[in-house]
Amino acid sequence: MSAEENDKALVARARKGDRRAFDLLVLKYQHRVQRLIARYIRDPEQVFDLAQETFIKAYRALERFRGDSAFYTWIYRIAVNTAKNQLASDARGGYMVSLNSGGSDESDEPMIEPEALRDGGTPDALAATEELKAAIDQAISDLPEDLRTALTLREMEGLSYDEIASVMDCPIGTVRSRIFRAREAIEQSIESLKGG
Amino acid sequence: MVGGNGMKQRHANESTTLRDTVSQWWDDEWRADDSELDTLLSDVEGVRSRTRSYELIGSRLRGESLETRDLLDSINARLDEIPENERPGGGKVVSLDSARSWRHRRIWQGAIAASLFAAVTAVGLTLSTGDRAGIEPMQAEGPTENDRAVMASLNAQELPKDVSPAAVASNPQQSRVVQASTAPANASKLPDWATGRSNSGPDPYVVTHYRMASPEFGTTGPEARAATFDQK
Repeated sequence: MSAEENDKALVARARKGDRRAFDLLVLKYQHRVQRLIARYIRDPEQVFDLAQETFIKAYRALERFRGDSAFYTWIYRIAVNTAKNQLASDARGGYMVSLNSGGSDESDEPMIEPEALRDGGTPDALAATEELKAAIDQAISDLPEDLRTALTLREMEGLSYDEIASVMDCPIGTVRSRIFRAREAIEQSIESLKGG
Repeated sequence: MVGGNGMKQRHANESTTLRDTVSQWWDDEWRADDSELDTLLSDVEGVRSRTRSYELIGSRLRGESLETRDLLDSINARLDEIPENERPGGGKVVSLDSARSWRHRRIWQGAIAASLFAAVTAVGLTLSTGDRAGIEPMQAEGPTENDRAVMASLNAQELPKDVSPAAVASNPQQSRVVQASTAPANASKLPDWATGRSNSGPDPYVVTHYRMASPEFGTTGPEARAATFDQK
């Protein structure tokens, strides 16, 4: 099965009542959904609430998911509509909002700058975040060159394993292994810092 | 937070295969059978820990915020508040697969019903109008035991003086339409309606069989028999 089919299989299981299947879908897409909503909403707390709301709506509407589109397309559409509804609601309540009329559901153009998820908070939280960043940076720089290159091509350039194999002139299995080993090494360095 | 020792212990407990699988799944590169999803479903907490790390690593490399939250607990708390009968799987849920097979069954049922209706209508119209010119006499390998019994019964009957005993075509490849002609000298000649030369009503005849066959039925359908004797 492709990634899209994996998601549809998880949806099918969730529709039969398997909550673990829906958990996996949440784990896979929760961060992307939060970033998407943060393009529309400034308040971090509202972003988290709306991301939650997005998944609750999706769960309730699972039976209406026909599988014509990919699950992530569907959940992104719910997220965008949820964010837009919030903006409209805030506008009715007298808040000043920036509605970009050029935006569309499928557009990647930000409605507003995604400030909501910019690192911030209390001094302790800021310090913890800075420590985490430093640890990740250090772990990445400590990686062997081939592992770092594979991971960078994946995470920064968004290349598929097949494309990375072409770039690095190695088998696709080697790419898979390098990315996995790179992540394992970094994770060991940050495990005590990453929190929840 | 989990200390370094805890991390090592958990790594020791988790299989490398699972962690490798999560890495590929996170990258949309995992090609699995439906049954292999159980590998991930068997350890959602392990997947959760891995994906949190992968998210932080990816975000840092892309220069994005590290402040996205893990929403799983809060989402599950909200989902727990949904009444059981309003949850997926709580009642009228039809899976994607079973929905497809349900539609598939409905299409086949409709096709079979339409075929059956058409076949019954055709036989009914043919018998009621008496127009047998369009019916191809059945080509068969030879008379069955049942045929022989019917013919024996017919031959044994005492017929009117001007009606000759029914004759069965001796060649097995020939039609088993049997003629009871009023002209004994032409006993072997088929009536016009049977050869398609005339649209007039049936001459005196004996039809022993018309066997309806259809792919939908798989085997032969019910037999229709008619035996008439011209009394003119």
